[in-house]
This record gives sequence, structure tokens and C-alpha cells, in this order.
Amino acid sequence: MNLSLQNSTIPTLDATAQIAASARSATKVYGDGDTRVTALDHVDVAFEASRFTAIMGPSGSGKSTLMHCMAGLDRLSEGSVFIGSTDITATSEKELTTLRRERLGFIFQAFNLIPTLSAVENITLPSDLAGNRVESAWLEHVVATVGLADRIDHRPNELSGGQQQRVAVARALAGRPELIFADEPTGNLDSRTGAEILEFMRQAVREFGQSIVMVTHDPVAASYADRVVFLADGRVVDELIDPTPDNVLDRMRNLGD
Amino acid sequence: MIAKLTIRNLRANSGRFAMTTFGVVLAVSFVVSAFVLGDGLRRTFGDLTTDIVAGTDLEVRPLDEFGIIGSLDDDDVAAVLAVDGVVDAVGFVEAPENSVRPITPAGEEIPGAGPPQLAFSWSDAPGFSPFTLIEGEAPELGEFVIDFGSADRHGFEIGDAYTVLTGTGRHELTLSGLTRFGSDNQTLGATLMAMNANETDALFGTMGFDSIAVALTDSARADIDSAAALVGGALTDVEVLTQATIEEETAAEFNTQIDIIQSILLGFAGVSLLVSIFIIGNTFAIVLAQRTREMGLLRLVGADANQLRRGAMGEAGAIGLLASAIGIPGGIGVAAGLTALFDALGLTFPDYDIVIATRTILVALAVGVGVTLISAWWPTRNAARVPALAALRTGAAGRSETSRTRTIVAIALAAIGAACVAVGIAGGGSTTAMITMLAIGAIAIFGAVTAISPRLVGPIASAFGLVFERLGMPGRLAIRNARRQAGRTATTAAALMIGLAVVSMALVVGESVKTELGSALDESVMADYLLTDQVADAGFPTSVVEELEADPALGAVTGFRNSQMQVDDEVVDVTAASFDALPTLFDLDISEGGFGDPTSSAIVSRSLADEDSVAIGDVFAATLNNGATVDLAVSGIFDEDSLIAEDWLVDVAVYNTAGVVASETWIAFSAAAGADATAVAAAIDRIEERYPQGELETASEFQERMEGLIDQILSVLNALVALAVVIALIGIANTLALSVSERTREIGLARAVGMSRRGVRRMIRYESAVIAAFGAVLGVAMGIGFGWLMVEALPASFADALAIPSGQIITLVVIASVAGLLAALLPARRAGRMNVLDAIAS
Repeated sequence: MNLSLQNSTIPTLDATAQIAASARSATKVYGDGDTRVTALDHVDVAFEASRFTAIMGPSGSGKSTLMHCMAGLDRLSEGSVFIGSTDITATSEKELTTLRRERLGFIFQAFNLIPTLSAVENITLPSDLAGNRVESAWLEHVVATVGLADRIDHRPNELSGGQQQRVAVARALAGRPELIFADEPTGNLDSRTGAEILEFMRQAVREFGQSIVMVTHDPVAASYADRVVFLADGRVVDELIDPTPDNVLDRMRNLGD
Repeated sequence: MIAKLTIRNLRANSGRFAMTTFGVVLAVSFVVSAFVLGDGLRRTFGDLTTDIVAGTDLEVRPLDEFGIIGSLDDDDVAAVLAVDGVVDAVGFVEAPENSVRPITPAGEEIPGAGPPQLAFSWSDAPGFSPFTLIEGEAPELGEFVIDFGSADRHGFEIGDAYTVLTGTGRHELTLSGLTRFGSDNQTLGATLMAMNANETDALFGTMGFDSIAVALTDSARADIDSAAALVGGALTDVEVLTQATIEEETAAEFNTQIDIIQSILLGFAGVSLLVSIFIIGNTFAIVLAQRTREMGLLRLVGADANQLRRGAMGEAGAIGLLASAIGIPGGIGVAAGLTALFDALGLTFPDYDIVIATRTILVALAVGVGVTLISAWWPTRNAARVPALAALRTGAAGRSETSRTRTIVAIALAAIGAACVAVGIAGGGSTTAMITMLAIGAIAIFGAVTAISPRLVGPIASAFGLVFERLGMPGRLAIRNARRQAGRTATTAAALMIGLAVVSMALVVGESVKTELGSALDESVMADYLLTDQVADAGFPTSVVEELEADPALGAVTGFRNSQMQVDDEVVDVTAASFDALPTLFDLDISEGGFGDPTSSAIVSRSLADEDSVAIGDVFAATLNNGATVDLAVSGIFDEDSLIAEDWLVDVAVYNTAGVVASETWIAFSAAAGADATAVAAAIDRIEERYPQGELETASEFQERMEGLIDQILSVLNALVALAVVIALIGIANTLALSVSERTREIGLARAVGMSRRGVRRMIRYESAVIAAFGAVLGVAMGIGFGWLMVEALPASFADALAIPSGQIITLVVIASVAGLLAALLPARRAGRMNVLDAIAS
């Protein structure tokens, strides 16, 4: 490997920045014996608050596993995960549910919305489940930001793919979570619609101070982030600050070497 | 929010759930119809009861005790009239039910299977009799009156003469008048006649009155118990009942009948419920499995397991509520349908008020909602445990069976079942106790089989594979698919299994009973003809036997005169026949001793000899029913107890010597040796003409009729169970439809690599046939097992050895499998029509 990391313990953008989530020595092993696969191999990583961070890497690099473990959806075999300063490594399933509900937001590649609920009902779903109300001014602001004001009462199947994903972004933003995890949010969209979604996400970080961690393998998508963390074979192998599609692509090309 | 989701989900899946609901709707309908019919009949009969006893303050009856010959005469009436406080007293007699039957102007009998035909002695004592003469005259000798409803229905006209069949033969009687029963002639379809009191004995074959109705002065009525005691004191060996007691007694008789109807309907509701539980559970499991990603998503955005479960249970509750709401009017419909069905079968059902009690509605709701919630409990619990990560996985996530719990439950249930069966068979209690134990055991074993059945899918499907693997790739895939989701296959099949288990058990028991009956008749009946009273069950006058004996065309003749006697302080049933004729007419399989002295001996049944250690030569002091005593020496023991149900058999000489009065319950005879066939035919015609209540048949005709009766019972049962099978088939169709949509991608793939539409359709149909055949095989196997237990529990004279109607059983399995193919028609068509590209893309 010809990469040289300046800081190989916990790579951060800014030592004084607040940390939204971090992993220490995160290791995830699947299976046993011959089928044993190490998805994450002692990963140390931190994601700053109010920043847009992208995790990149080829298929099988462990980027999705890292995200699942950091979001409390899957458990580490070894190491620990923090959301803010909370260690969630050994938290009960019930507490994780509360954590997801109150402190985290999610955006996915597909099947993002409950088909039987209207757009606005999908947006307020997490708060409703928690028994909270979304402040109406904030809801309007979010809805307006993603440009859905006139489609708010439509069902998901009456919306285009891009519109559905905008609903998903709005849902993630509506509860003002500490951190939003996005898993290939533009994977199913054409490039123009994808760009719109990414622009909304970036806007949310700039305007609302939202923290977002996005898993992607698209260099263009990654270039919308403030920082890109590269994973290969379950390890953090590189990072890039203020990326452009070109230099992301460049780094990606070098990952396999 | 969860509530909102629940409602939206219900709406989105409404078609799916509509099918599921069907079973619950049916079950609720049957529960409701049982109560509606029961309550309605009870109210109607309650009104009737009041009509019957109106005006009668006390009723005097002969004491119903052994040794008392029950009859009252004019002297008794006079004695009652002489009692202080008695205003009036009238003796009444009622002919045995259905023994008096008029021939209608159309020349036909009124069907005997419907409401009863009743004949009474006429009394116009006002206030006593429930009858009021509304037209014509009271009956003189040779005349009768009939209720105006029956007269209208059949066209009887005052002044015309009609043939009336009675226990004593044919009589020509002139209709002298029409009566009204009670206040509005609500006879519930019964035909009510009355004859002149002075000839009732001659017409009905009765002896004296069977009751005396008494009217009291107001002051005597105020102290009814003292009045009853006074009246009772004036006579010997009588009981005196007050109006309240008679009313209760009459109502209790009606209620017993109503309870039977109600139990049958509730029993069927139970079967529908049981079947529905499986179908609802399955539908929920599949619908929720399809929603796994959606539920994962909900978990992801913060719903906890309880919220998901509440949501799904809410759906179940709403479905149950809807099913109950449809089931309540449905039940009234079923009640009306049953009434119409009975009418169509010629069994005129009484008109009844429709009574919808609050209790009925509450029970309907409890049943509908309760069953749905119970069925949805497990699938819901499992589904709510879905991890949030499920939302991010692609493809349908298959859930593993909790097989260990199932195995433990199965073993526990099997142990309980086996214990109950063992206790039931070895316990040696009464037949009822035995059947109860066996029923509990059977239910436990049924539960065990249901719990373990997913494990049986593999081996049984492999066995079917021998056939299906030959049907090419669609057949092979069908078998694999059925095996892949063994739990689902087993649960879907369970519904069918219940239905077939019940049917095949009934078939096995019926066949065993028929076999026993057939062998008993074959081996023991040598008589050419049997004469039985199939109408009124009142038997024949003893003179019939004398007439038959006198007929030169006929040979050996014996009647069977059933009565009771007291032996060792115990009242036992006894029958008297001719020891002379008996050996040539029947082979009673007398294994020890033989016929002894006609006047002082008896032969006893094998079961009595074994149970009470009665041996040849034992002498018993017997008191006959008229109080006469006779010493009876046991001269023989007979083993063939299928025809003679009584434990004691004596010669008619015993009765004749003691002066016992008993009619001939049934009669057997043969043609005289070498008699002319036309003479025999003429003799038979004469008997049929003289005794219209009699059914004269050969032994094989008798056997056919008995088998017909058994088949009739079976067919009613089968018709009811057929409905359960239909519900089960809907369940199969439902499951397959869900499986098809679940496997959209897979089917698309099969199509993409070259499977034809037809191939896809065949694959789905075969899978359905595999599920149906699996349920049928398990059901039939269990049914035969339960049948065997029933045969063990029944007395040997009823069913001795297990007989399996293999033809019918195989037909049953084939029909179920073919029905399985039919159930798959729609899902298969849908699968075949799928657009390949869409299917793969989904």
C-alpha cells in the first residue's frame, strides 16, 4: 500500500470539532471455521457533528457493516461504538429502539416508505411512534426545503422515485436527529434526481447543522460530502477532505493496489 | 399512528382478509343460529306449554313405579270428584305418539317423520281441555275431531268418513267437528285428533285413563299442596302434580329436544372455529412475512416490538369484529336455511319467533374476535420480533421454525393423549365415561400431530415425490416448494386434516357398526320375516301372534313381549318369546345349557352371566310387573345379543301364567314348510293390511334399512363436515395466492429460463395437490385411529371389530387432492400470467 495516513488512530477533520459518532477497534466477524469472514477489522473512526461524511469502498469492503453497527442495527464482535458520548455497544434492544427513534435518522436506497401512509404521514412517522409532535413550522420548512409542499398528501406509489427519496430525506430531517445515516441514497435514482437529493442533504448540513454519514460507492455522490473515509477489506485505508469526483475516483483506483 | 397503520393495512389487504374472514363468519353464524333457533323454539314451546296446562290445577297420574299397572278408570274419577274443594275432574287418555294416523282425502298417510300425530280422548269440560270446538259437533262413537289447521292443510271435511290407522288396526271414522288448540291453534305442525272417550281403549289399545285433570275451587287452589294431598289420599298408587310441576315437566321435555339441535349446531360451529384458527393463523403469518421489510423499516425508525404487535393484533381484532358483524345476520340466515332444509326433507319444522338475545350477540362477538386474536397471536409475536436490519436485506426473509418448542409440545400432548386413551380403554367405566376419556385423548393426540406435522412434511412429501417427480420439472419444483416451507404446508394442510379426520372416523365407526349388524343378522336370523312397529314404537296386540300361528301358510311364529321384572331388588328388562318357535327362527348362539321348562326357566345373556356371575342352575325369585312372583331357574346362556337387547329371556308361558299384560314389541315368523307361495303372499298381504303400523321385511331388507339409517346419520354428519372442508380449501387457495406473490421473483426467473406459462400453472397446482394430499393422508390416518378407539369404546353388540371402508377412504383422499387442484386454479392462473420482466425486477 502506498498510502500514508497522517493520523492513523482516529482520523478527524478537526480536532476541536464535536464528535457525532465514533467506533473504536470495531471488529465484526461473520460465520465460523471455513466460512469465517472478517467484515470489519479493528476499525477506528469518528464522524464530526454538523458535517457530511461519506464512507466509500468497493463491494465487500465492510462499509455497510460499519454503518449498521454504528447505527445500532447490528452488533460488533469486538470493540465499541459511540453515538455522541453514549457507548451503545452493550445497550439492550429496547434502548437501541429508543435511541434510533430519538437520536438517529435513516435514508436508504429503496423501500424507504410505508406504502399505506401518505407522504406527510411518512415524514412524521418516527415522531408519531415516539409519541412526539413535529413542530409545524419546522415541518413546513423541511417540506419546503425538499420541494414537496404540493405532494404532501400523496401515497408513495403516486410519487416518482426522486420524490419518494425526498420524502425519505424529509422524514430523516423532521425529527432533528443528532445523526442521519444514509445508505446509497441515490443508488436507485437517475443522476439528475440523485444530484438534487444530495444537494438537499448538503443543504441540511449547511443550513440546519445536521450531521450526516452516507455510505456510497458513487464518486460523484461522495464528492458532495465534506470528507470521505475509504474502507477496503474491513479497514479504514484512506480519507479525503473536501473531495471532488475526480480525486475521489483517483483514490478509489489506488485502493486496490 | 399504529392505529392508522392498522386501518391502512386492513384496507390494503382487504381481499386477502376477506377470504380469511369467511371461516370465522361461518363459525359465528353457526353459533348465532344455534342460539337464535334455541331461544326461538324455547319461547314458542314455552307459550305452547302454557296453553296445554291452562285450566288444570292438578293432574292425577298412576305412580310410575315397578309393579304398578298404570291405569285409571271412571271410579277413580268419581273418587276425585268426591274430594273437598274439587270443582271438576275429567279422565284423559292419549294414544302413543304417531300410533293414530288418519289417511288424508288424497289417500295418503301424513308423513311420520315430521311433527307428531297425536290423538286424545275428547272432553268438552270447559277450561280443562286445551281444545275448543269451533265448528261441527263433539265426537260420538265412530266419530272424531281434528284441529282446523291440519284440516285445512290436508283437506279434511266435516261429515266425511276417513280411514284412521291405529295400534289396533284400521278404523272408519267420520269427522264430526273442527277444534282449535289453545288460543291460536299454534300446534307447531302437529296433527291433533280427539275421539269419543268411550271408545278410546278400543281404538288406541289403551286401558283406562292415563291422567285425571282436576279443577279446584279458589279457596282450595290457595293451598295447593293440601289440596294435592287430599286428592292423592282418595286414591292408591297415584301421584298428584300441580300445574307448575306439569308446566316445568313439559318444558323440560321440549328443552331436551331443543338442546340436541343446539348442541349439533354448536358442534359444527366448533369444527368451523378449529379449522378457521389454522387458516387465520396461516394468513397472518404469510401477510406479515410479506411485510417483513416494512416492519423492519418501522423498527428502524423507532417502533418497538410491542407497537408492531399491537398494530398486527389490532388488525386481527378488527377482522374478528367484522366477521362477527357479518356472522350475526348470517346466523339468522343459517337458522332460516336450516328450517327450509328440514321442511324440504319433509320434517316440518315448527314456526318459531326470531329471538336475538343480548347473550347471543355477546357470544358472537367473543367467538369472532376471540378466535381471530388467538389465531393471530403466534404469527404476530414472531413477526414483531423482526430485526430492524430486515428492512435493509434484499429478498424475502425466511424465518426458521421454532422446532424445539413444537417437538416438546408434541411429545407432551402425545403423552397426555396416550394416557387418556389407556385409562379410557383399561378403565372399564361406562361407555359415556370411556368415550369422554377417549375424546380428550383424541384431541390431545390431534394437537400432538398438528404440532409435529411440519416434521412429517419431509417424509410424506418424499413419498408423494415418487408420483410428482415423474411429472417433470413443475412436479419436482412443486414437491420442493411444499417441503421448503414445511411449517406453512403443515398449517395449511391442518385445516383439511381436521375435516377429513372427522369424516373418516365417522365412516370407520359406521362401517364397523354395519359389519357387526350384518354378521349378527347373517348368522343368527333364520326367520323369513320380521314384523316391527316403525311408526309409533308401540308394538302389536298379542292377538296378532295367535292369528299368525293359526294361518296354515305360516310356520314358526314368535313375538317378543318386552317388560320388566324385579330380581334381587333390581328392576331388569325381560322379554318373553315362544321357546317352541325360537330355535327354528333364530340362532342365539347358546353357548351353555339350553331351553328349559317354559314356565319356570330363563336364559340369560353372556354379558349378564359374566358381569353378575350368573351360572346355569341358579334360581332367582322374580317379581313380575303385575306383582306376581315366579322362581326362574337359569337354563342357558346366549351369546348373540345383537337382536335381543334384554338380559333375560323367558317363555310366554311365564307371562301367561302370571297374567302379565305386555304387547308384542316385534314379531318374527317363517313360511310353513312346503307352503304354497301364493298362500304365503296372501297371508303377508293380510298382515300388511291389518297392521298398517307394522314394517314387514325379510332379514336382509331389515339389514338394508338399518344400514340406510346409519348412512343417513353419516350423510348428515358428512354434509356438515363438507363445509369445514370447503373452508379448508379456501385456506389452501389463500395460502397459495400469498405464496405466489411472495415468490414472484422466483417464478419470473423460472419463466426467464424457459418454463412455460402452463408449466408455472402446473407447478402451483401440483403444490396445492401436495398440500391437500398431505392433509388428507394425515387426516384419514388419524380418523381411522380415532375410529378404532370409538369401536373399542362402543359395546360389542354395537360394533365389535374395526372395519375400514377402504374404497370410501381412498375416494376421500382422491377427492381432497383433486379439490386441492381446484383450489389452486386462481393462484395458478395469476402466477402464469405474470410479466417476466416485472417479476424479475420486483
